[in-house]
Amino acid sequence: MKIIKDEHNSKVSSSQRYQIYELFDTEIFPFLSLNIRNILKFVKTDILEILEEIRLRANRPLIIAGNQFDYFVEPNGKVTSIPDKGYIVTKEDIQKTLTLISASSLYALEEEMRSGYITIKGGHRVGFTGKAVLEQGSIKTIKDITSLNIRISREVIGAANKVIKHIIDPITGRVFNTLIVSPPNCGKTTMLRDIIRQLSNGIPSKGFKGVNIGVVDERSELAGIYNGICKNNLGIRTDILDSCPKGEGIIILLRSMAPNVIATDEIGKNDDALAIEEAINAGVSIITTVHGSNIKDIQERPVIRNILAKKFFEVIIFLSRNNGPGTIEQVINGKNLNILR
Amino acid sequence: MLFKIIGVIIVISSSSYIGFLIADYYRDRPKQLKSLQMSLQMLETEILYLSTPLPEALKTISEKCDKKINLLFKMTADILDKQQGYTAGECWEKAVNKYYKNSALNTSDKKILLSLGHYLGETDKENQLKKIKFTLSELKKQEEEAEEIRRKNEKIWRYIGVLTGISIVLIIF
Repeated sequence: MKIIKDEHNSKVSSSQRYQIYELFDTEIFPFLSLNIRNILKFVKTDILEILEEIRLRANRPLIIAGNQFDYFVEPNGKVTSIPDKGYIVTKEDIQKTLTLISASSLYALEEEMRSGYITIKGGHRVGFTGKAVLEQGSIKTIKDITSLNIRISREVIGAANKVIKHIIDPITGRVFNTLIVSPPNCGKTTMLRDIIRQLSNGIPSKGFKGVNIGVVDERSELAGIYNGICKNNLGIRTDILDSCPKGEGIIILLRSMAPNVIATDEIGKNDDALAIEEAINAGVSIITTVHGSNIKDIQERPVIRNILAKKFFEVIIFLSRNNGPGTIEQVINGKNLNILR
Repeated sequence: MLFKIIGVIIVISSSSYIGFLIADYYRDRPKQLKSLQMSLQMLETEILYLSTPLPEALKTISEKCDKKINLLFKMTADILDKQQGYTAGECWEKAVNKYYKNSALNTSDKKILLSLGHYLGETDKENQLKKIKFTLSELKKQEEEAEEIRRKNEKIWRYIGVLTGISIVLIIF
């Protein structure tokens, strides 16, 4: 395990430090139970800066994790690699945190309780597991929550710099249908967000004028919309359809906003595939993502296999976290599977 | 003579005033219990049909409901808004305790309100509605009881006030 403190001490300026602290103070801490909040408040800013996850499990030590590291947190806010020293998260901590995350309105989050995650202000995603309650064979809600995973979403301006040239047709300036493939937690959403921003704003250095982009943001992660205010910068020509199921959303955008490009996160359902087909046939470019680590992985999945067989996607980008989140493993041509990079 | 008349007026009016104050207490309790029920019904609607998050729902209710009790909802929403780490239940408890001091409610009314707090916002829709319905029925019982007490006491205390004044005047003069 590498020591972050020495590595980062020189890099983080005091104003950056303040920004990081403020991010946590306004977007993360208010949703944690008092016990956990008071512990994490004393964690060093250097660690907070590269933090990606806060994991709460009932009767297990509190864990904070980032790229290739995870630490247990002692009750005084110090980090340690010895599990026994860590603060043991109680069932009440989890219950309280969940109540705070839902603004004491679990009843208003029925859809989220079914799907196993809640998106909070700022686009951070909180996943949870517990006991599933079934009704006629499908999940009605999840109760007795035992684990929470708070994933901190960060906007990385320039995350897509290395791939953007593969996405745009150099001759016509058309945006290719693009699929981003990556395992969870490899910066898929961050990459997509930056692609949207760059395509929407235009890239003067490449002579690319911006295009109209419609975004279906089913989980409120891309734009981070909360109470109608968009947190992330998705560019100046972007229309965002928030919290809408992807399949229906794509059709709505197609009909109502006349976009050049439609972007959406994590496809997987049959409806999504149908809508994508519809959009591509209508001459709109699609940019989307899917979980997986190589071409074989995604070909195993029926819905994706069907789309791939029809050779809709012209560019497929594979990500990993070999050199940190957002590492570009490979870019291939989706039509003939030639390696572009 | 003039002084005597002024004295008589002062004595009678002040003792009547005391009587009316006590009568008011008996009149206010059923009234407040009734408006509490109405506001909880509003909360029920907000949860059932609109799925409004609790902080917003409480604010809406505090704007719409009877002025005598809106403090309760406003205070809960205000404490929740500060995001100090209190759950809605805890905020409700604090607000009930504060509101109780200046209200016409008695301790058993307060207990009913407090017990609602334990569940507020922590369960799914169905259970929220069940709990609110239960609280409503309890409050209804309290209201009926309070109404009965009011009928017995309100007029009596007014008469007692006025008559005490008159009898003091008669005894002194």
